[in-house]
This record gives sequence, structure tokens and C-alpha cells, in this order.
Amino acid sequence: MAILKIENLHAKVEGKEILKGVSLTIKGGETHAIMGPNGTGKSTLASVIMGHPRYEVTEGSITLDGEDVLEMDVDERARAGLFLAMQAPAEVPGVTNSDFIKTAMNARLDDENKLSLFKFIRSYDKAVQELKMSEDLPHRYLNEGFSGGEKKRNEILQMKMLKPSIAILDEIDSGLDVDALKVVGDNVTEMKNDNLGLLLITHYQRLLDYISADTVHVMMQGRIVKSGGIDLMKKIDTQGYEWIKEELGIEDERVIPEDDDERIMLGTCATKEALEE
Amino acid sequence: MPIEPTHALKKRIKTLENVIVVEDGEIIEQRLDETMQLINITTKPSNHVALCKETSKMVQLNESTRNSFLSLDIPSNKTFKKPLHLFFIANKKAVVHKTAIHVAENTQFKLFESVTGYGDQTINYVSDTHLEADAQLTYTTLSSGDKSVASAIVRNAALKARAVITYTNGVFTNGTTNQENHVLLNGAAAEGIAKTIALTSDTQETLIKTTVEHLAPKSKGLIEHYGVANDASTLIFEGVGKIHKNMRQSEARQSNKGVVIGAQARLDANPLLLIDEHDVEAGHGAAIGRIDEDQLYYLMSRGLNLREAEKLIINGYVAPLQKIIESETIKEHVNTLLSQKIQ
Ligand SMILES: Nc1ncnc2c1ncn2[C@@H]1O[C@H](COP(=O)(O)OP(=O)(O)OP(=O)(O)O)[C@@H](O)[C@H]1O
Ligand SMILES: [Mg+2]
Repeated sequence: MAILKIENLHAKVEGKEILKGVSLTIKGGETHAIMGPNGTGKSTLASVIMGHPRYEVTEGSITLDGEDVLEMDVDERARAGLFLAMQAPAEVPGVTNSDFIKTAMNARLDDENKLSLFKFIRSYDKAVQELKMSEDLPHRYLNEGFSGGEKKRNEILQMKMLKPSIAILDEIDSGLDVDALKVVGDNVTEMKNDNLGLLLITHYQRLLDYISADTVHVMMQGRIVKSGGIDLMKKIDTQGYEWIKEELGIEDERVIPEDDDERIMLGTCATKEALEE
Repeated sequence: MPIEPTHALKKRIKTLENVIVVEDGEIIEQRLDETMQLINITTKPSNHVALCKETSKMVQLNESTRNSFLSLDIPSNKTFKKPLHLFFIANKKAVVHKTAIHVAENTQFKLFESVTGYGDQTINYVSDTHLEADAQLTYTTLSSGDKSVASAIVRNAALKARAVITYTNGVFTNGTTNQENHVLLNGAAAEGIAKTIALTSDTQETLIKTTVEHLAPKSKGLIEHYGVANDASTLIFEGVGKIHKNMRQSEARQSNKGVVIGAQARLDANPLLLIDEHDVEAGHGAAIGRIDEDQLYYLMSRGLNLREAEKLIINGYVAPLQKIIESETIKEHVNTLLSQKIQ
């Protein structure tokens, strides 16, 4: 059974501290949900766990079954069992969806045990059907021209094929219509077992109607400020976050106040241009 | 990794239908089915007039020092379903070769052409293609060879009215190479498409120049360059769309896409539109740079290591070539060339 342990995690991007001491433990069989207003560090936490190169960890630790995750490269983390369904997955023109997933599956297998094309296609087609995705998907370029909902389903498709032990789903419900939400929810619920720990990042209780969670955490100012059961989520769904802020004496829940935010955006653009030169 | 030896290439060729193999200036193999036998094949130049002789030094050199020649005369009003495969190999001799292709009226033809050099040979290869009115030619090419082989490859075409040529060139050679593709749209509504996919490695220097000249109204030109520059290699694309005066309602388009993988690699694209007429459509786009950090992160977050992720993206650049190749043997051959270049 996998255990992901995050302790006092601090991380910064572009010189700004975004995560300010996150502690959280997720075990196989458990489902945790993280809620929180916009810009409070939820996606950043997910990116730091997965190892996005733009974020720098300044303090704290992450371990998976006692192994130091922070010492691992992104791909090593994936092969160790971590999976992140991204809020905004990248588009990769020229790389077909099926080639990508097949390469990813084979990356986990040693040379003698590489997947046969036949076996791969069979399980891929099955997963595509279970997610009620369109059949031309295998030949389409990775996420290119996918609708918002198709991208989300494609993330879950990858999760189904790669069978991680810890999966983080960042706003998997956003952009999904009611039917699609049910399909995605059912597929995730079906994957639940004692060897899968789930972390759902969401804004709405609705998702938990389809994927039940045991623990709910609220994130503000780059930290988990409150944890509780499903009741906590229900209360947020009807009453919003004000009462929590009052209870904890928080004035601005965001990590970075408004005007600072803008400067950082400029910084990002500048690096992008420099890269393109 | 060294390139596939001659015998391995020849073994692949054995599995193909409709082939002509020219090694060191001699035809060493020729297998053609009944339909292909309609083509008039000669090795003696008769009243041949070279295209683009004034503008290309490589053509001039070819004219003055040529030691190998092949001409194909393809009859009119025929649709050839299967491609003809031409293989040119410079093995024990420096080769200065010319292929002259003539496609008569209203005929559709597909040609695959591979130019390979071994050891320390040099290659000067020129092909001249004449398409008569309404003729169509799908012309797919590959260049490969050892690091020590310097090559100059020029492909020129002159098109009459409504003729269409579609070049798809795969440049995989390991040596210094200078390649030109020049399409002359002489007839109204003629169309020239020239795509080149080039992969460079090591300290190789590669120059790819593609020109489409609009010398008749309503002519259409499309230039596409795809490049991957590895290691410390240099890859330069020059694309010229030239619309002469009065060639109304012509269309000149161009795109350049590429990634720079090697830390010391260089990839430049210089698109040029020379237009001497108002009533035309023209445009060019370019996307060249390092692989996007977020793309790499995404691929790696599914367990691919850096090299695997890069390879997958590089493969994507070769997709336009693989798409047009019909034969599984040649698709495989391209994959082999690719994996030799990208390790
Ligand atoms: N790569 C980055 N460059 C600059 N700023 C960043 C970067 N990533 C995150 N930030 C900043 O960190 C803060 C937290 O962002 P994050 O995406 O983690 O929020 P979130 O809680 O996921 O919000 P949402 O609910 O809107 O998805 C924001 O102010 C954001 O602008
Ligand atoms: Mg977010």
C-alpha cells in the first residue's frame, strides 16, 4: 500500500514563495479532496509533487513509501507510481495520442516484457470505450484541438492505462458537462482500490457525488488551513469561504496579493520570449 | 551509430516492387512490372537542356563533370497506381549524376528516390523534371549517407498548365549537404508543393533552399520546411516564393517549423516572398525554437525519460514524410535512418 507523505512543504516560483508549509499524508485506499479559493496554491502543490521544473522547493519533504520524491526526476516520479491529471495539460502536435500512451506504458516495462501492439490496442480501445470517447482519438495529436472535456477524459484515459498508486486529479470536473462528469466519475470510482490513493482538487461538491472522499482539506495562503469530513465541503458549498476566513482571522486568502501577481505574469512572458529567440 | 551498410540497404530493396538501382554510375538492378515497362528508360543523354543552369553552381558543375545519367520518359494519359523506386548509391566512386524525368500530358505518376553515399565519396545529384499539361507527379525523396560524404542535391521542375508536383524530401544524411528544390510554374494554374524534412546531427552543416517561381497566372506554390537540429549541427532553411509581374491570382505560401535539441545546435529559417503583382495571396509562418518546457514536462510526467520524450517529439516532425510513403519497407527504412540519427 502506497503512502505519500508531505511535510512542511515550502516552494517558490519566479522568486515568490507560493507554498508556505503544506503537510498532508495520503495512503492507498484513501480519497482526499482539496478545496480553496482561486490562487491559493492548489495547482502549485500538484505541480510540486509531480516535479515541474519551474518550481523550487525551499523547505520540507515529500516521500513515497519512504523514498525521497524530491530527489527524483519527473519521469522517475511517474514510474514510482505518481500521476497528475493536469488542470491544463499541454498540447503536443505531431505526437499521436496512442503512440504517446504506448511509449509511456513501455517506459515502465523492461526490454523483455514490452507490450505487444495487439495487447496495447485491445486495452486502449477498451478504455476509450469505457470513457465514451470518440474513436478517431488514437490517431489524433496529443490534446491538439481537443475540447475542454476531451482533454479531461484523455487525462483519465492515461490514468486508466498507467495504473498509478497515487493519483492527483486537478479540477478534473471543470469544463465537463453533467453526462461527462458522470462518465469520468464512474471511471475513477471503478479504479478505486486499496492500492490507489486519490487526491481530488475541486471547487465543487458536485464531483464528490460521483467520487466519494473521506477527508476534505481547505487551502488558503499556500497552506492547508482546515481539514474535516464531507460536512466541511457541504458547508463550503452552501456558505462559501468567508466563515473560515473569519474563524481563522485571514483577510486575503490568496498567496500573492493582486498587484504582485501582475508583475509575476510579466516575468513569465519575458522568459518565454527569451526562449523563443 | 554507423549507417546501415550497402548490403542491408540492398536487402531491403529486394523486397520492393518496381525498382531501378544505380550504383557508381551503373544500373545494377532493374525490376519493372508490365505497366512500368511503358516507361522509356535510357542512360545516354540526348538533346537534354539543363534547368536553372544560370542560377545554380551545383547544376553547372553537374553539367561539366557528369559521370552518370538516367532518363525516364513517362507516356501520356496514364494513371500509374504504384510508385517507381529509384536508388542511387555512391559506393566506390564519386558520383555526378543527372536524372531527367518527363511526364507527358494528363498522366499521374509516383516516384520514390533515394540517394545514398558511403565512405569518403562525394555526390553531386541533379534531377530535372518536366511536367506537361495536366500531368501530376508525387515525388518523394530520401538522402542518407556517412558522415564523411559531402553531397549537393538539386531537384528542379518545370510545369505546364494545370500540372501538379508534390515533393516530399527527407534529409537524413550525416554529411555536409547542400540541397536545392526549384519549381518553375510555367503554365497557368500549375501547382508546386515542396516539403522538406531535415534532421541534422553531430557537427553537420546543412543548407536547404526551396524556390517556387510563379511564371503564369493562377499558379499555386506551397513550401514547407520541418527541421530538427541536434548536437552541434547547423541547419538553414531558405524558402523563396517569387511571383512575377502579371501573374494574377497566384498563391504563394510557406511555413517553417523546427526544434533545436542540441545545446550548440543552430536552426535558421529565412522565408522570402518576392512579389511583383498586387492581385495575389501570399503568406508565411515560422515556429522555431527549443522544445517547449511544458510539453516535455507533460510527456515526462507519464514516465518517459527526457530522451524518450524528445524522440517522440522528433518523430512528430517526420510524420509528413511517413504519411506519404506507401511502402512498409521504406517506412521501416526511414525509422532506421531516424534511430541512427537520434540516439
Ligand atoms: N509558474 C508560475 N509563474 C508565476 N506565478 C505562478 C506560477 N504558478 C503559480 N503562480 C502563482 O501562484 C499562485 C497560486 O496559483 P495556483 O495555480 O497554485 O492556484 P490554484 O489554487 O490552483 O487556483 P485555481 O483555483 O484558480 O486553479 C497564483 O497567484 C499564481 O499566479
Ligand atoms: Mg488550480
